[in-house]
Amino acid sequence: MKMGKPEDERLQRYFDGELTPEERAQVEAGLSEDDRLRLAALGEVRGLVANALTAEAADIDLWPALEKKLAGGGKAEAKARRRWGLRAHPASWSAGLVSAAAAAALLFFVQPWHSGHPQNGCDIESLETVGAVASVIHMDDAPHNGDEATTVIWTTEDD
Amino acid sequence: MRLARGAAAVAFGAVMLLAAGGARASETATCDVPIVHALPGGGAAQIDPRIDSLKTYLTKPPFTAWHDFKLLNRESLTLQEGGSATFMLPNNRPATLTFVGHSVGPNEHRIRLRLVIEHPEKQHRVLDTTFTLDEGGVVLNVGHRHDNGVLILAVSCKTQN
Repeated sequence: MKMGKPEDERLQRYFDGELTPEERAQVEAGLSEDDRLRLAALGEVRGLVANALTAEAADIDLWPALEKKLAGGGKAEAKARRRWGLRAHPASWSAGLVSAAAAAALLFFVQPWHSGHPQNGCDIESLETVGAVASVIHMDDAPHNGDEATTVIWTTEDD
Repeated sequence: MRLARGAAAVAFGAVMLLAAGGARASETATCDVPIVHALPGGGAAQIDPRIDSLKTYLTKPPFTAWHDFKLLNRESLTLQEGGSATFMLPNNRPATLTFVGHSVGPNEHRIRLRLVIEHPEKQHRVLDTTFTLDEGGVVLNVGHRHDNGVLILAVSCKTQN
């Protein structure tokens, strides 16, 4: 199947189950390897989104909030400072204790000695495509428990 | 006396600026860009051992749409701040990585990069993106077609400082 805009739309409607049985049969008869890959990728992305939503709903426990409290000087706050131009508060002895606790918590949760695995912390500033569609996907960094998702720039070229 | 102090302060400031300028000029990033070919297939994922550090990502959706991951090439680039390097992808598309800048702050070392992938026949840029990444962090670009599969570029850079 040659992929132009109408065909893209048709494939998307096929994926969404919006075609009549006759139309479905027509699409299936003309599926190319590229179409199959695209359908597989659409399925995976849908699964990824569903998993992310499920995980979000299932994630209601006290540990992340507690960890966030402990890790007051951690990466998430640094990221917020980057975005909003906030400055760190002056250090005090209690901040030292909190930092020590945060370090212990991070060591417990992140376990860097298990990792030869790259971290991320990517902010996309601009993204332009011509003759292609690009989507940005943030993948959970589990099981390495990184506090930043890994960014994937997914480019699908038109024919 | 006041004039002499003022002149000394200006001279000191100039020296500090020159020193800072010299330090900035020496900023260099080393970038590692493995170029992976992802192919469809059956059974368990086959991942080239040379890209073991990417295994965590490649065994999870959306990468489970493919089963065979082979390292085709690995670009090791040394970039001066503001400098670029161009390398050819296996599908004959030139890719250019630019080290735009580097920021150092409390708890962070961040690198600003620009990745451009061109389509020579159609004379346009398939992708032109600028992003900021933690030092040693990785960003994945997926989807450029090649030989019944797609290419995955994993961009990761570190500065010498």
